[in-house]
Amino acid sequence: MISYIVMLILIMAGIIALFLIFFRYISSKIMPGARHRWLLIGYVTILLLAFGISYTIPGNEIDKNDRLKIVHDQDIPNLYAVPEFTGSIDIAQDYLTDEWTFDFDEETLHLEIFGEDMLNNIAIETTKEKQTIDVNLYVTPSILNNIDFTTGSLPKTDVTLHDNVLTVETPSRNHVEVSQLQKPFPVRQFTESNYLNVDIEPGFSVSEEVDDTSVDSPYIDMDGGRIFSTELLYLKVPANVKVTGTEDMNIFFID
Amino acid sequence: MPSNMNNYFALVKKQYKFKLKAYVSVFNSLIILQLLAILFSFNPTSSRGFGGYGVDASLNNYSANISIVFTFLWGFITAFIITTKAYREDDFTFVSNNQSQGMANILYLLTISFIGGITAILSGYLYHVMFYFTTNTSEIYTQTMTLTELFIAIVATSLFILFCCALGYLAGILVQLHKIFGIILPVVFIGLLMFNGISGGDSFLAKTFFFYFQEGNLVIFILKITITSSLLFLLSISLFRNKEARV
Repeated sequence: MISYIVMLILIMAGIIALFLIFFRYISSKIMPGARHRWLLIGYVTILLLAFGISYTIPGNEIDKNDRLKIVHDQDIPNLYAVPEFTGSIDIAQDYLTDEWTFDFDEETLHLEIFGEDMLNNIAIETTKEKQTIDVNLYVTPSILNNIDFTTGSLPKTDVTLHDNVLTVETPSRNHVEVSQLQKPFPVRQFTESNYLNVDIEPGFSVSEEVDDTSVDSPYIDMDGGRIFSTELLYLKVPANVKVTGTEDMNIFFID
Repeated sequence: MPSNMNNYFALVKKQYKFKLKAYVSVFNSLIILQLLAILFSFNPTSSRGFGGYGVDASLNNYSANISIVFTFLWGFITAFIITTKAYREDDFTFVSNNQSQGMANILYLLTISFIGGITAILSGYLYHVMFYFTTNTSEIYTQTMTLTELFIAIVATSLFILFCCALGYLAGILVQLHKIFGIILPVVFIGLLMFNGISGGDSFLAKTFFFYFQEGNLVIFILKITITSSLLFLLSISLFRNKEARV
């Protein structure tokens, strides 16, 4: 890694050396002495103007922009663990993204889920109070470097009920592309720990996603400044209704 | 203060002022290099992507670091170039010796390091403005620097440039002492690179790199760079003191 960087720098140094020699030759031919100084003064003036203008460009400040959040470890609930650890969904209420209610008078409810995204984390709460199926979808945001990619970009999930079949169609993914202008490295050296490795993308996969979730807490730990989203389909069904699904569904019943 | 010391400092000051005026053209190349670096910076320095429920995310990072790196290289090469005979000839406009020339050169390099540091960091703002008005990306997030961070950036960048100047000056002096160093220095450097590749990054070169670039304490960093640069300059002056006596 270092060799590669230094080799690149070496090649660049060679090119720049040639450039400097060539430029010196050219400028001595075409530019009298006094103009050199004016060129520098002009350049510094442009830089100072840019410095001033840059502060008039709309900034992206925390609290003024939905996408920017300061997030720490254990700030966001892990929806794969919440119902199991807490026996309720209370700590995830902020992440309720959609809800549906259907009248229901059958004895069995069959779940079908299809679509581009997997949604196999399902919690079921039984209730004796009413004869309806309440479907709540909770999604926690995908966060990278304190930028929330999910809020405001989450596409709609379709949920329908025909006879006794509850069908959930997960949406096609939205592509969210964000550009970030970073501080120069001489500042990051003193303000960020391990700044040299921050741009190295560690490999990750679905299995790592599961590994990253803390096993002894209903909250998510950050992984290299990144928090993976978690999702939960939360159903409230009448107590007399039997719920069936497919093998790949991870169904958890809340007492 | 003894009068010969006064004369010495007056001479160094005169030479230094002369160099500031005579070598002002080095800033032209600095300007062109920084502008080129800004153009190169329109490619992302890194991209990270990942997927979550309903969202495919990608984060492209941009920075004006190339401008800073180019300025380091500019410092190294400028320092190297001013040790060449063509530049040294200019010093004999004055009644001087190698030591006063060396001192004036160091003062000159110190000055251009700070000018280079200031322009390198400010060029990041020029890049920011150009990026904002020319990029189609709908969402741009900027990590703006506070005034304290701006000050740290200028100081740290200037010191890095000074360090590069000290290295370039020593390399230049060595080559002026004997042409064989023109071959030895690149060979040693490339050899170190190869050794670094073989040893998996746990080499002298890597350790030296991390010694300076991973120092997170500003005061210690300033001490490291100042002491190293001073030693390099001192070595350069000592080596060159008795190089030649012009008649």
